[in-house]
This record gives sequence, structure tokens and C-alpha cells, in this order.
Amino acid sequence: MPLLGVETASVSFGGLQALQDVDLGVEPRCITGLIGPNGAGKTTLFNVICGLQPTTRGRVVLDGDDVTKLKAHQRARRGLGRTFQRLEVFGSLTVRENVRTAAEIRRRWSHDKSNPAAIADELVEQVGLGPVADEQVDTLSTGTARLVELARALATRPRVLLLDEPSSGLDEHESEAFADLLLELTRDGLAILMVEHDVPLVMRVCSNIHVLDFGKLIAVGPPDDIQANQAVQEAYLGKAGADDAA
Amino acid sequence: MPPDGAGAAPVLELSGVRAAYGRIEVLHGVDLAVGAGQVFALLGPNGAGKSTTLKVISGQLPITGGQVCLTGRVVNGAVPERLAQAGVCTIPEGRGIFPSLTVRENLQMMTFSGRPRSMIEEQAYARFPRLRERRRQVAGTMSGGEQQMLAMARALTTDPALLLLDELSMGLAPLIVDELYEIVGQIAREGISILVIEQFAATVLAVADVAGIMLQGRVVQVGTPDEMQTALSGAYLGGGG
Amino acid sequence: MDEFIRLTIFGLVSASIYFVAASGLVLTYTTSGIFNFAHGATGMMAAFVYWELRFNPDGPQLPTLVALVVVLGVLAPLFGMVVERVLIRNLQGASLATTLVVTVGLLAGLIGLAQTIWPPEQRRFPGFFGDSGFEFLNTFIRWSQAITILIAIGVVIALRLLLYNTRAGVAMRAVVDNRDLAALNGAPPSRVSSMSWAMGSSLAALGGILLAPVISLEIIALTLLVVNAYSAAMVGRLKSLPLTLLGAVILGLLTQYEPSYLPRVFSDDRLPDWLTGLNVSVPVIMLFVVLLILPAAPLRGARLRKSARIRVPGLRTSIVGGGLLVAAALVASGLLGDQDLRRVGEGLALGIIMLSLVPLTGYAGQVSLCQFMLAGVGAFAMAKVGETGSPLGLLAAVALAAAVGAIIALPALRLQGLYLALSTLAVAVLADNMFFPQREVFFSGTIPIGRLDLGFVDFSSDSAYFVLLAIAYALVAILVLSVRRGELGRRLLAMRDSPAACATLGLDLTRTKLTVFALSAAIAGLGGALYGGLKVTVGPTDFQMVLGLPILLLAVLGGIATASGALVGGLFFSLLLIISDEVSALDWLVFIGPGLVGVTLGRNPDGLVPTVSARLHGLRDRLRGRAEPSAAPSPRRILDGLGPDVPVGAPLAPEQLRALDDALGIGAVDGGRQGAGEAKEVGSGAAPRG
Repeated sequence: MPLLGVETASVSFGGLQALQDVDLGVEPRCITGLIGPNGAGKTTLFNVICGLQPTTRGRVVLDGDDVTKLKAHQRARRGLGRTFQRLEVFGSLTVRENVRTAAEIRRRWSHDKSNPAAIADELVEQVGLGPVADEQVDTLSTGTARLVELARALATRPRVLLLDEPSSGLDEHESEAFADLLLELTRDGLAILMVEHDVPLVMRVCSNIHVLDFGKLIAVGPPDDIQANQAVQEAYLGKAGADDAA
Repeated sequence: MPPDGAGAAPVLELSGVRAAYGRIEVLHGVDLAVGAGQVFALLGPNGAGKSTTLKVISGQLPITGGQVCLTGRVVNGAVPERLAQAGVCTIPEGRGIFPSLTVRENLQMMTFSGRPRSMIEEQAYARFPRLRERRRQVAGTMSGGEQQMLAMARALTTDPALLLLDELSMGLAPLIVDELYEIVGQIAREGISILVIEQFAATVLAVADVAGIMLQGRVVQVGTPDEMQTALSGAYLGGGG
Repeated sequence: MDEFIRLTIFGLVSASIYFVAASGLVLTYTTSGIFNFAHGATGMMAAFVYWELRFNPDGPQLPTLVALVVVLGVLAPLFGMVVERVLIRNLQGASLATTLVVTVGLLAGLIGLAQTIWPPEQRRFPGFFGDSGFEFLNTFIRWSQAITILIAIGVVIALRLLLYNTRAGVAMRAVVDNRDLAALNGAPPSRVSSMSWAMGSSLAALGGILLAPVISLEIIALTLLVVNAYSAAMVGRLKSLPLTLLGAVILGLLTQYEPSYLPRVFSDDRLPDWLTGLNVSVPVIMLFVVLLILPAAPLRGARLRKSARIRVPGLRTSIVGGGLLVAAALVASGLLGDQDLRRVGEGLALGIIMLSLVPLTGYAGQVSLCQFMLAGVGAFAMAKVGETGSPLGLLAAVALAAAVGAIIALPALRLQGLYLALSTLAVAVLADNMFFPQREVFFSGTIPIGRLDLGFVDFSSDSAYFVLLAIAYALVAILVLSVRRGELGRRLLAMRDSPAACATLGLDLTRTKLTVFALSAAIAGLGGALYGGLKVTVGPTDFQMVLGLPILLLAVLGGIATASGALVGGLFFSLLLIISDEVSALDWLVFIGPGLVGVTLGRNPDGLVPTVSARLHGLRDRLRGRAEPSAAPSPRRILDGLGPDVPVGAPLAPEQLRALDDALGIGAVDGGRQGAGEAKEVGSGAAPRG
């Protein structure tokens, strides 16, 4: 059984069907990719999983327990962490304070009473934010601020981490280092579900990929299968692109 | 066919444009030029700054450095409504319509461009007969494709000097996307300069004269659609496409 | 049955007035996004101006129609447009606290202005056609009442025609739908909102003129018309005019039925004592209930906003600062006379109440309009428990206020932003009507409040009490600053910056908000107890909502996120007190002053302390030779100057260029002025990547 499971999740905004019967599973110690064109419903699915978006139908299961009825902060306490595509950093705090605040929030709900300041220092170094640790976050570039969100999410010691376009704003070199960091995190036992547009990065780190298009799951499989999948080609490049490739 | 523009100031020219949301700079010196009658496709991944570039041109976001020129005139700091009245037509991302207004009222809003209402309605209904049938319907209750057609009606009926299109295809079925780009092609043939943003590129490259790739707040490569097609397959699908 | 018909007709008359006022509120709010707290005050001013033109025995005594046209057709719209142009337009994208403070400032300023121009006296203000009327369904109806209903029907029809059958009206609705898109269509949102403010102001004026004969020409009562309008408008969630009409009808009927029918529920056909004040509270109670049954808004995400960097003093600095304040107070207590000591002391006591807003508004970004009411609760506890000056009184004040604050916050917690602010306003007005006038509270007019007596030191003399206030201020300021530096402070800032992110980290937002509300209420309660001691006796009208407005305004003036800002605000209040005591014409300066301050904040939302400190740094930079960036060039129309004979993009001949420039009224573009942001070196601040 997957660590995180989504079963027949459906969401509609007004008349628009944003998600339609989406099933998805995230295995422990793996990076699962979630790709698809803009507007396919990826971020909506993330919001459904972490409790910020109510569903019209469907369940979210975390480690065997149905968490569909739980609020966002209750799901977080069961080991669900996330980052945001549109940045949700604490802009008026410094990098270190952002991470430390997360660790302090965790200390309030967990039994682990380790020192938040120490956790913050350690994580700031681990994701490579040392040089900007005492900068106020609203002065940072987008790519750097995404790393702050990553460190902040890690400070709550999640079992499943949802990353929403974590590499956008990073350059090629930084992206490489970022991939290594993600793989290292899964070796420590973390399960990651990642929305990402940097396809080479996805192909490199993901063991399983889900493809969303118009709110529906159109393909699931390992990277090689996805890359060869005709429906995925069409969804991404339009019909003409698929013809060219064929 | 890009007209011979030797010596002419481009309809749109950005040089060294910088812009920021709050304290976070997202455009780090954008250079691009759209010649008269050209269709320029601006491509690139999410977060590269494409939509921000468009917001800068349409006057929705002030720039912090560089300059924006329209037909050789500097328009830094011009407000959106002035630019719109001056002939810059922007169809923003999502649906460029007023959802709680009826179709007819939406068309009425286009009269702020200076064209009479009768003319706008006539042209819009001629091109999209379905809009005539639905003229009393509240626009937000129409299908996504119909809404996008209503949005495109503004480009068709107000005779703009420069058309800015942001992710026309978002959330629409491929068939409708094809139809929309047919209209773009038609507008282009009338000689209107167009800057179009798309994340997924094949459809737009078919109608573009020039394409540019944007990465991390800069335009990093400009070339013909064919050149870009090759470059993009690599960028988007890791060489597999 | 006759009674029911009579009450229903009268209820519809009231409903008509409420609808007229509420429709103006909805128009301005939907098109500009700014909630106008001064809506009722606008109506109040208009009623007085109308009286001045029509009825004042020493005035021009214009005919009714002429006076109406002058007020509703000229003065009120002009006022609305000026307010929109000068105050509101700058507020796009400002924080909620700032937008609230600006219109609350306008409200306070208008009250002060009216009190100064029209000091309380009996003023005749008959309705249209005086007392004459007609019989209808066995009920005598005055012409003025019938006209009121007709006017409301006229307003409904006129609004409907305007919004659906004119381009300007369609543009208004378009701006409500999507402001940016309206601009992209070429419809200037600023002109649209200017027009809607003109109309809103006119409707407020009409409401005020219709209401004045009903409730008499009285400043505060007319100003509180805004509460009735809120209640009605809130039924339509401040958006829908038809639902607003429904809300107005419900409210109108309730205000008529309640006094006649509710007492019959009780055995002796009269309301029990503790329910006196219910009659005037119906609109507030309805507002509160409507707010509570509104569906909760989804969690808000982060909003990027610019704010001044505020340096947080360390513990040592804050202790030194506090010590300096106490030392200064010691010196001043020897120098100042008793009267001045009381005035400056009042500033210090109010400063403590202002400090209560620092964690709540400054850190957590929540706006409360009931801090002065909570101070009153503190004073009440001090009077009951600490009559002799026992320290237990202060403890009771802190505890009771914290408890009341938490109870108030509890139902309000699911609300965010504006709705939360409105619910605190409702609570404050409710307390004005139903809590403070209770026999057990301050009913007897005035009750004595003890000054702290610790046994070994007695603070009963004016000079000693003054020093006590300074000590209390210093201690609370040190507390507030250590909260900011500590875990709670970080959590509050985090919650303000992104509630959504906090929830996904496992933070229970409800509990955190409850904590900060209780903390803030405790500080307000302490401030209130000490303020009461300074005044020696307090009465039921000492802690009215309206009197509390200057506190919010001055706290924001000083800088809502700083501890020293509250001191600046408090001392500013003392200064106003002194001036208004000395210059009798400026009696209401304590309102006008903060009002002016509030409305100027639109341009300077961070407050004095942060701004002055930033200016000083800027000055230092300039002295060191760093240039200020030059302003961006002004907007220019360009393409529409190109006639059909000039192909777009083709090079223009020199004479064409010149003609174009002349037509557009611009000179040649000076290349050197273009690099608007170059001097700023935007990129240089970017941090090295991780």
C-alpha cells in the first residue's frame, strides 16, 4: 500500500471540472513526479492532498488512514509537508527565522523537543542557504526563496513532501545540485511528490510519473514509458509537435 | 511574411527591462523587438517571466529599469487604460472576459477603444455567430472555448496596433486551440503586430514569424520558428520529443 | 392587526432609509475595494449642511428643492470625488489596516469638524411637508414617510437603469468583476471609482437627510447610521444590491417590531433591566449575527507588500529606553503642574492601550476596533476589585479583559480582515448600548476607581501616579518587544505573512489568533484600569466606541509595529488635549487631529517612527553622495496619434514627429531621463544563490 494515496478525487470550480476521478499513489523512499500542461490541475491536486481545497468527491489516504475530513494543520501533523508554486514564504522574517519558526511550530505539536534553533541552522546549511541565512526573505530571488520553502517544510520532519515546481528559478547548475539533494532526502526515508516543468530533472530523479491533462490522469509509469507515450507527447507539444516527433 | 522593416522603429521594443514584485526582481534585463506586422512567439517554462514581460508592456506592472518603446516612443510608466486606448490590445491569461456581464455588455466594454458599439457587435457576430445567439447570456456561464472567443473578439473588432496574447490555450481542448490560432493567423494577415506567449509551443510556432525563448527573467535566444522547434524539444522533454 | 400594519409600514420607511445608505456603501466598496467607515459621517455632515441651507434661522433658508439639489447634486458628489481622488486612489494594494485607518480617520475628522461647527443645541429639522399626511389602512402616514418609501423605490430603479443600461454602469460592474481587465479594455478604473464615490456620497447624504427628522439632528446618532447600513449591506456580503435591499427590509421591520412585541414575552410586559439598550442595539446584533453565519473564506495566501524595515531593539536597548522614559517622567513630575501632569498622563495611559494594538495589528495583522471597550472592561474590574488601589485590581483587570477579549475573538476567528474588524466594531457598539450603562457597571453616572497602592509606595498623588504610568508603559513596552523577538512574535508574523503556509506546517491558526487576541486584550485592560485611576471616576460614556477611534489612529500614526510608536501616539494625544483646552474653538481637536493624521496615512502607511528612521538613513546616504533615482517619465499616448495614412511601424518624417509631439504635448524624449531605476541598482541587492 502506498504511503500517500488519492482515490477518485474530483473538484469543480463553478462549472469547470478542475479534477476528475484522479487516483495517485506515492511510495516511501521514492520521488513521484506529477507533470502536465499548465492548467491541468496539478496545483489543485496538491491543495486537495494537503487540505486547502475541499473535494466534491474522493478520498485522501495517508499511511492507511483516511484524512479527507481533517483540516490542513491536522494533516500536516500526520507528516504531510509542502511547498508552494506561488511563493508562500514569511517575507518579513529572515531565512533562518523562517526555518526556525517551522521547527518551533512542530515542537508545539510533536513529542520531539529538540532545539528549533539548532534544527534551523542544520537545515539552512543542508539546502545550501548558509550565505543568505540572515537575509530577510522578501529580498531574495525566486529560486532562493523556493529553497527557503523547502527547508521550512523539512523542518516539520514530514514523511511525505509535496514540492510544487521547486526548481523553477534555479539555473542548470543549481538544478543539478538540487536533484542530488532530493535523492539524498529520499535515502533518509522521505517520500516526495513533485510537480515540475523541468522535464530532464523529472526524468532523472523520479521513479514513477503521473501525467495530468484537463484534470484527468492520462498516463502513469516509469520515466521511459512516459517519454515514449503518444498521449503525453500530444498533451505537451500539441498535435503538430507529436507529428514532428513521430 | 515579415515585411521589410529596414529603418523602421519596431512596433514594440524592450531594452534592458527590469521589473520586480515587491522586492523580488523577476525580469533581469529583457531585450526583445517586434517588427511591424510580425508575430513574435515568446516561449519558455513556467516562472521564466513571460507573463511578467507582458504585464510590463501592457502597463500593469511598473518597470524598475530599462525602457519600453512603442513605435519608437518611450512609454515607461504609462497606465494600462491609456495604452489600451492607444491601440495596445491585451488578452490576459485565463479568460479575458467579465464573467458576470452578458456577452453584449462584454462587447460594450470594447467600445472604450473608441469604436462604435454597432460596428463591434456586427464584426463580432459575423466572425462568431454563436456569440449572437448567446448575446443575452451571462458570459461566465458559457463554455471555456466560447469565453475565449469572446475575449478574442476584442482583438478582432478594435483594430489594435499591437496585440498581446497570454496563454490562449490554457485549459482548452486541442480542437478549440487550433481554431483560436486560426483566428490569430487571420489577425496577423491583417498586418497587426502580435506578441504571443505560450508554454507549449507547437501550435503557436505554426503561425509565428519569430520566436524567442525566455529563461530566468531574460530572453536567451531568438530565431526562426524552425530553429526554435529543435531547441524546444530538448528544453521541454529532455530530447525525447 | 392595525398595530401590525402600522409597524410594518413604519418598518418599510426605516428600511427605505437603510437601503439608500447601504446601497451607497455597496457601490463604493465593490468598485474601489475600500470599505468606507465614514459613510454615516458623510450622511451626518450632509444633514447638517442641509439644515444650514434650509432651516437655519440665520442662514439663507433656501426652498427645499434648491437645498436638496445643492447638497445631493453638488456638494455631496464633489466631496465623494475629492475623497476618492485624495485618499482612496492611493490605497490600491495597501494593507487592510491602512485602508481601515484612512476611512476611520475621515470618520473621526468629520465628527470633530461637525462638533466644532455645530455645537450641541436644539435644531429644528422637520421632515418634508412637516406633520401633514394621510390615512391608509387605518394608519396615519406622514407625507415625509410616504416620500421616503418612494425615494427608495426611485433609487432602486435608478441604480438598475444605471448599472445595466449605460456604458458607465456596465463599466462599474466590469471593474467589480476584474479591475485589471477593465483597464486593459481602456476603461479607466480610477474614473469609474471616482464616479461611484460621488454617487455613494450622494446616497449617504440622502440617507442622512431622510434620517435626521426621524432621530433628530444629532452628530453621533447620525454617524452611527453607518452601522445600520453595514448590517443591511452585509446580508448581500457587501456585493449584491438586491440582497442589500432584503437586508434593509429585515432590519427595518426588526427595529419596529422588536420594541413593541419583545416586551410581551416577559410577564410584566416590559423588558428586564439588563435588556435596556436592546432597542438601539438591534442593527448591531443583526450585523454580528450576519457576520457569524457568513461562510468562512478560504485561507488566504501570501501577499507581497512593501513595508519599512523595522529594527527590533534588543532586550538591553528596550530596558535602557524604558529606564530613560521613567527618568524623564520623574523629572517632568517635578516640573509640570497638576493639570498638565494629568493631560500628559492621559497620553501615557492611552499609550498603553495603543501598545495593545502592537502585537495584534502590528505583528499579527488583525484589526480590532474594540480595544477601548476592553480598556473599559479593565476599568470596570479595577473599580470593583481595586477600589482601594489594591494590586489585585490590576490583576483582575488584566484577567477579565483577556477573558472578554478571547470570548469576543472566539466567534470572530473564522472571519478574516474586514469582516473581523466589522465584528469588533459591532461588539464595541453593543457594549456602549448594553454593557456600560448596566446598573452594576457604570450606571450611576460615575463610579470611583482606585489608584494603585502597593503598601510600601502609594501612587495616589498626581505626580506619583504620573511616574507609575511611565513605569507601566515601560514595562508593557519591554514585554511587547520581547514577544516580537521570541517564538510567539515569529509565529504571529508568519501567520500574517502566509496563513496558508502556517496551516501546512501544522499550526492551529485558531489557537494562535485566540492567544494574540487575549494578550492584546489583557494589555488594553491594564491600560484601561490605569486610565480609570488617572481619571479617578468613570461613567458609562467614558469608553464609547467613537472615543476609541483616536486610539487606533494615533497608534497607527506612531507606527503600529513599534513600541515607541505608541508613545509618540499617546504624547501626540496629550498635545492635542492641551491645545484644545487652551483654545476653546478647537474643542474637538482630539478628533480632528487624529482624523487628519488617519487620512494622511494613506500616503505613508508605516507610521511616523519607521518613516522618520528611514528618512534619517536616507539623509545619511544622500550626504554620502548616493543619488536618489529620478522619477519615471509621465505617461504618454503614442499610437493613437498615428493617422490611417501612416502605416504602423513605418518611420515618421521629422515634421510628422513634431506634429505628433505637439499633439501629445510632449517634448523630445530625453534619453538620459529614462533609466528610472538604474540608479537604484536593483540587482545588487540580490543575494548569492544557495
